[in-house]
Amino acid sequence: MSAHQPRIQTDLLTPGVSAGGELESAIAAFAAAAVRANRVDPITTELVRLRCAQYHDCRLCGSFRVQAALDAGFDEDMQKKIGNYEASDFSDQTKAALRLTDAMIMNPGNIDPVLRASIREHLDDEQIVEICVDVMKWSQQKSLVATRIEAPASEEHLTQLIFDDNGDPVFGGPLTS
Amino acid sequence: MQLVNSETRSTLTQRHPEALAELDRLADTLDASSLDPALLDLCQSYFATSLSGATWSPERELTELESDCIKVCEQFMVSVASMTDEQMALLSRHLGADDVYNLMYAIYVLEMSERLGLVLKGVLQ
Repeated sequence: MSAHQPRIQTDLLTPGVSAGGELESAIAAFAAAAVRANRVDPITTELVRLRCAQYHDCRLCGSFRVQAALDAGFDEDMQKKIGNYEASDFSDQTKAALRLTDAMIMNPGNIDPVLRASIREHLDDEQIVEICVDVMKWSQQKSLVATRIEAPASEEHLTQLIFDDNGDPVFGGPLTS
Repeated sequence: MQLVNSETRSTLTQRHPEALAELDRLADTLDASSLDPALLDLCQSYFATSLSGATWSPERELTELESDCIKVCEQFMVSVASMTDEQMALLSRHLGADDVYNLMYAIYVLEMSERLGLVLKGVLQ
């Protein structure tokens, strides 16, 4: 799973200058604001997050499951359906959310009328904006993927991810099922 | 620098003001960073043009660092999953680890801000 080697020497990073620096902190604040929005249900948000992880090949993102989604009924069968979601039994709203995710990642400059209508039929304006902001947030690990310093939290098991009331991540324990 | 145009700003003001506030903070942070503002402007220009489907070409002769950075931006935009060791090494020829780390985060902010604006315009406006 972790065949990639880091492309920068992490031991040369200066704490507070790069890792943990002003830019990373500002990105974390944006991410927290994205997480605090809650017009979209937790399972759909988790499916969007994992769709981003698949596209970007983010090993770190793929190694987590968000506890709020698990509490709402998310399971690994859902994760397996993401790659072929149009043929899945996901709700029309969830499929619209994943179409919006794909559009933002694959072809943001060419939203055709059919796609636009299929998204707007099932998602209101606040949900559309929330999902787009979420896709930006769930893509922040692209930087770590580029440098291949996004090693999974664990090679052996999925790991619980909780967001606190401010929207900041808290990494939990192993998930066994 | 501005990360979003007036149309996107208007949409976010109505639908997600917290995200807009943090995007503005990100823009201020990039302005105050040690990253070369001309390099950031170049990356932003590249993403704005390329993500909208047009062909980008520089308006002036690029330095070696700028040229290498655009090559990294292109791969970052098309598929970061397919980024190679050799492509990332292009930046390490010019920059130390701290600058590469921060530049890659800046590229993320610039690229995804453009995507955000394009999709909100295409779906909502």
